[in-house]
Amino acid sequence: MQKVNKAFYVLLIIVSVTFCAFETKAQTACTQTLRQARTVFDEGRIHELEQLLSDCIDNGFTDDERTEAYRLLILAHIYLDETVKADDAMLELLRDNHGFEINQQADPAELINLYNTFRHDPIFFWGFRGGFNTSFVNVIEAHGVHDLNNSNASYSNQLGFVVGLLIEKRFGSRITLRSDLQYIINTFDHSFSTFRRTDTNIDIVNSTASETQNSAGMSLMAQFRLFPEKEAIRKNKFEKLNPYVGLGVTGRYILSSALTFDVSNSAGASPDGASEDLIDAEIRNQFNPTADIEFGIKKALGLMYFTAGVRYSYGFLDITDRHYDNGRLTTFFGWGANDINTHSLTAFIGILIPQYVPKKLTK
Amino acid sequence: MSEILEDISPSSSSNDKKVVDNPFPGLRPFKIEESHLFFGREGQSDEVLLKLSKHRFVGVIGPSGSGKSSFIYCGVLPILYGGFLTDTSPDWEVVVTRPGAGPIENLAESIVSRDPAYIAADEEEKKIKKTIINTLLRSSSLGLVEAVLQSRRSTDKNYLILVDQFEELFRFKDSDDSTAVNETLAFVNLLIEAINYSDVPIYVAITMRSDFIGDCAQFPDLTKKINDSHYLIPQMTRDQKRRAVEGPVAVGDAQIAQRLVQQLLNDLGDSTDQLPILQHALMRTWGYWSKYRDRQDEPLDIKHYEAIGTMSEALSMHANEAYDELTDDQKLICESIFKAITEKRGENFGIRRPTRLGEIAAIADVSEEEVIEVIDKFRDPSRSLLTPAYHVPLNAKSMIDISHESLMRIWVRLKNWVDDEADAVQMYLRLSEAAAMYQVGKAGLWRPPDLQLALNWQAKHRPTLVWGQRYHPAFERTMIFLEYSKKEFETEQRIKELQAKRRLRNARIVALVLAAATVISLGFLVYAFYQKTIADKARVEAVDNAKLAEKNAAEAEAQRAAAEKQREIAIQREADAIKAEAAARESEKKAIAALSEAERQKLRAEQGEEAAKESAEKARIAQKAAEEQRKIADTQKEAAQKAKEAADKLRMLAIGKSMAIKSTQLRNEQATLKGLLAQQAYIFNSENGGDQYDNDIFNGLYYAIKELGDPLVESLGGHEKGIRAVASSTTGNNIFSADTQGKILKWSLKGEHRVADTIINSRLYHLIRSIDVSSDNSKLVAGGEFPQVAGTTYVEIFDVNNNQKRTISGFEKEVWNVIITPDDRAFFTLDNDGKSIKRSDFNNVSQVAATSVRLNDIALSNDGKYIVGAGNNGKIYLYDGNKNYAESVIYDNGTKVLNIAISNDNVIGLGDERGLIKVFKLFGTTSPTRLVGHSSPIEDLKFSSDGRFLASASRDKTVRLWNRSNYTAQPIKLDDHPDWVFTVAFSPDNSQVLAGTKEEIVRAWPTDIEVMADKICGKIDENMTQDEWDIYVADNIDYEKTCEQHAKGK
Repeated sequence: MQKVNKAFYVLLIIVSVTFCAFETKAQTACTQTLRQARTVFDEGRIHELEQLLSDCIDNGFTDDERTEAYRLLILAHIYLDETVKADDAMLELLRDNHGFEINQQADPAELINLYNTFRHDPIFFWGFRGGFNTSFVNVIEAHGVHDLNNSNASYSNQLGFVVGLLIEKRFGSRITLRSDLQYIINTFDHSFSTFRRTDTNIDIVNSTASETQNSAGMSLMAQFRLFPEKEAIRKNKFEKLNPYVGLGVTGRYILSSALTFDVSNSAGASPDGASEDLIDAEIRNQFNPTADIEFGIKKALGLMYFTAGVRYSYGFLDITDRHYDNGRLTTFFGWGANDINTHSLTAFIGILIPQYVPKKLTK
Repeated sequence: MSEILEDISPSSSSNDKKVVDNPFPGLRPFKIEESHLFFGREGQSDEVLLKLSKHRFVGVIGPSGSGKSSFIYCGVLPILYGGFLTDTSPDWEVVVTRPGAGPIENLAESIVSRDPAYIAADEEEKKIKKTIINTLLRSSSLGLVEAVLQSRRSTDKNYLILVDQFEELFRFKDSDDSTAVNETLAFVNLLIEAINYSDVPIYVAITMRSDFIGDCAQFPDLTKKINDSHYLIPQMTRDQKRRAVEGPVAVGDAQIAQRLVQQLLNDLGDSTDQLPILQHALMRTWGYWSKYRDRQDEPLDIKHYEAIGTMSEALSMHANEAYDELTDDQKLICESIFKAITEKRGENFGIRRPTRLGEIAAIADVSEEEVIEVIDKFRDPSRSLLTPAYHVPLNAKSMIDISHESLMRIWVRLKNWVDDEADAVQMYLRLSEAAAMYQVGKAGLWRPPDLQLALNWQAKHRPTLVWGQRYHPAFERTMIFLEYSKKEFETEQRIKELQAKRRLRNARIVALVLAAATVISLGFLVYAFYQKTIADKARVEAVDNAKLAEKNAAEAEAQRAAAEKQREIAIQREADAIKAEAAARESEKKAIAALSEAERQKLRAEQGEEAAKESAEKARIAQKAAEEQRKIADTQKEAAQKAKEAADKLRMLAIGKSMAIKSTQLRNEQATLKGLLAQQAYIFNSENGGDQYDNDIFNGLYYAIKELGDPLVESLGGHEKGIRAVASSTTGNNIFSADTQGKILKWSLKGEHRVADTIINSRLYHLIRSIDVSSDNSKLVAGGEFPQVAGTTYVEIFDVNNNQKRTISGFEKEVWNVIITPDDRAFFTLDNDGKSIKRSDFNNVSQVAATSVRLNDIALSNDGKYIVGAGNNGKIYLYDGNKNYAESVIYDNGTKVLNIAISNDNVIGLGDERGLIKVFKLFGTTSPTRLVGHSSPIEDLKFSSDGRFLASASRDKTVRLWNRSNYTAQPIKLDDHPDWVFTVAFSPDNSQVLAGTKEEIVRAWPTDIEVMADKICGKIDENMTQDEWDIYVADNIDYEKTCEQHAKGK
């Protein structure tokens, strides 16, 4: 059995090497063909180009060579007044090389005009991103069965995560609309003190209620590019980062909100902790919309874009529905839900992938 | 090369001292004054003297290194001087000469330096005297007799002409120089006549290497003399050799150990050419012994002999000593010298190759003085490794040679050099061969490893022109080939590097994406652990809840009953579903039927594809036939050119043309000379009735005035993209040009200056392909690729005087051609992809002809009645205005016709895809005239309105001006264009032709050569020098001033 396997691998390697050798040979021959095509074009015998290049365009050129070959072929068709063939070749070129750009200064007007009759920009971008967030809590009104005046209640922020899928579409040279689907986890701690448990008569000195919310969100954002879109070669270093600012809204739907207690009493012993889902307990509102402001960059990496940035989300609704569960939280821990807004700051990185569908634009 | 021996007078103190110091001469032969040191050939002299006395001639012959010269100098001459030769006067004068590279000149010098008056004279006089004797010797075969008679001081004096190293006559002969053969013959004749002249007792003795005896056979008289009287020098016996070793030692008042003598004789062996090596070893041994002997009376012994490296090493060590004395730069020169004067033959066999000093200097690429400095180290009297001997002054013509062949065998460094040189030559020859093959297209450029080897070779040997031409004449081509190979390879490497960088970048992107994903995943992991702890706590709580669950179970049972009812409803639904499935199956059957229909359609499509492939094959065969036709056309073109060259035998015209061509080849720095050559060429051409539109004269003048910065030939700027339309009317003074970005300029011609007015500025999507102006220059019509409105496009009408624009729509797709009628009332257009000819009266548009095939161009006859069209199928169509523009075929060109023009006298010119132009009379009966010249398709044709020219523009980047009165003459070729030429037009007065190119340049060319000729003299301030005249015109044509107002150049 093992022998058979070995023979199979050897055969596979031989086949691969032979294939690679043929491939290389074809490529060398085609490199020469391209060189010849340049000469033929320069000498003006452009009616010979189509036949000269066709085999190598189908198979044999490297990507860069194929782009150049198409360019020569398109120019030949243009100057031979073969408009249909020129259109076909341009479409093939744009499908083959999404990143093909013309040079406004150096290219002939005929080529520029033809190029501009095609849709050559991406129709939309899609991508994904992820990052870390931290939450800030604003107390509107405090609630609880402990001594509110002496409780020294405070909120502290903890680290959370965000992941999302996004889709973007450009409008004009500066405006981009983006929509994304997010899964958000944010956590914050609520600390308070001074409470006597009625069942045990033990004084609890400090309680920390840690709340972790899992939400799904969908957002819509309008982005404004700080520099208008233009040819890549004419951008300076900062322009190449494509910085933008964005304003938008996110509709969050809180799927669960787990509250966990860490309690210590004056005797130093730690009573049983407790965990409760505030959604099940109908304490939290499930809908929590935010207004977002974002600053970010999109840096081209080949045909893709790397994106990074920071976003501040402002929660403008009170997320508390009921203040007491009338059960363990109230009875054992003396905890009542404060009226609060939550805001968050997110840092993220991600990838944007353009989708090109080149086509001839009708005039 | 030559020397004079005074009467034997061993009184020369410096020589005396040397002889006492070291009794062995080394590699050089014994001198006359060293006869007391010459041992081993006692008794052999008599026979030689006897033969000399009897025949007045003797040839001493022997192998290389057998001691011929020493024998004559020390064995024969002393006896001669002693007066022992009977039958003749005892008063002898001996003239010793060596032929070297100039045998007669050297003989003259030998004779003249015998004269005491000559020795006393100053340099100038010496030179004169020498020249007189030299001339005397060359004047007749009795020259030697006369020279001797002139310098004879007493009547009973005998003369012995001793020609040492006679074989140099053959060895140093320069095979490239035909006079050398004659000089050898003259030299031999001088000697023979001198012997035969009975009134003056002149005797001749020669020493010659036996392997050159065959070369003497070409001179019958000399052969006879040698046959009558020669002496083959015998090899020395062991005893004689012993005397040759011991004798000088004894003279030097020293002893030599017997075992050393035995050792020397054993080392010497039987070979004949080892005597100089023995002498050299003994000289070195003596030198070492005299310096390092332990005590005064110590004999020369084996230890001294071994210290100098024995016979097998002594020469090598000695040569290395000389080499080590050199500076680093001189070492390199030394290497070049020895490489130049040796040559490798066969596997392990180096031979000497005497070379002129001048050539060596050129090979080493240093001055002759530097070479002489190095050579002097090696021909120092104590070394004598190179010849000529130390006292002979060196100049560029001196032949440098190795004094003894064995140096090449023994000196290891030289051996390596010889091998190294052989390798270099081999590499050079391979490279030359490859360059030659490359030139004829039989081989490609070099690539590694060959390329790398060749580059190493170049870096190491730094080959010079002179060096290269010794082995292969095409040195420059070879080096250019190498350079070109290198550049080509470097370019390829650079492209590969760029590709590698791009791959690396892509890999980085992937890595970045993966890294980002990893970070996010890690975040999730942390979070998962965190959740797990929460879950553990929840589990405990769940146990409590279990009890609660049991209570709920009962309630659940009740729910189950309700569910049962639901199940029954579900069963009912299932039955419904089965019915729906049956319906679906029916649909599937229909789909299968549709599929089989589709398969049938596909089969038919494949059959169609097969037929298409067959058609393609036929097309390819047809193309091959066309190619063959083209080849035939090419050969015909060559034949025509040759015939023309044969006819063009008028010398002045030829000189004029060649000067014009030379002027174009001069470098930019030589602008003045360039102008003078072009101007003089023009003068020759016009004075000798040459073609007034001669291409070479034209180009000479054009490039000269361009170089001198004349505004006449400046190009017309102002456009930003390629130009596809230029036009002018036949009146006024304006030319119009339009580019592919919609800009139109109006040029006013003010003498040679041109001023542009902008009619309209650049606009996107306004690609102008054709313009025409009315005869009064007031209206301009422009057509091309303009935006379409509701499926139709428009042409633009400009009021030139106030730059007003209006449009007339009603045209289909793009307008390729616009022609205003001669009466200015209407214009014709070609549009709709060449399928429609339309007419507009500047307000309305109507179609006058829908063409059966695509036309690439149309032209309108001067009376406005006929339109001719260039068909894409190669046919020429006529649209007759008298017959409502009915279509008829008037000519079939066979090849796609791209352009057509019609002259005022109704001559049609057409230009096709092969670059061929044909001219024929409309309604004429003669077959068309073919104008061959362009190598690429024609882009535009225009007849000048004065009937002189037909201008053709082509994608081969040239415009040609064909002289209509003589189509067979070579057209003026205007080739200073950066890219394809799209369009041409003549200025209204036909004095200039304007060419619009694919780049944003319009070039202006004068059509009259005279206009350019008048300008040059004003731009320069002197005439040619006599030298320049001799070089570029001819030295047997009288100088004349090119520009009368300037002085002759100095």
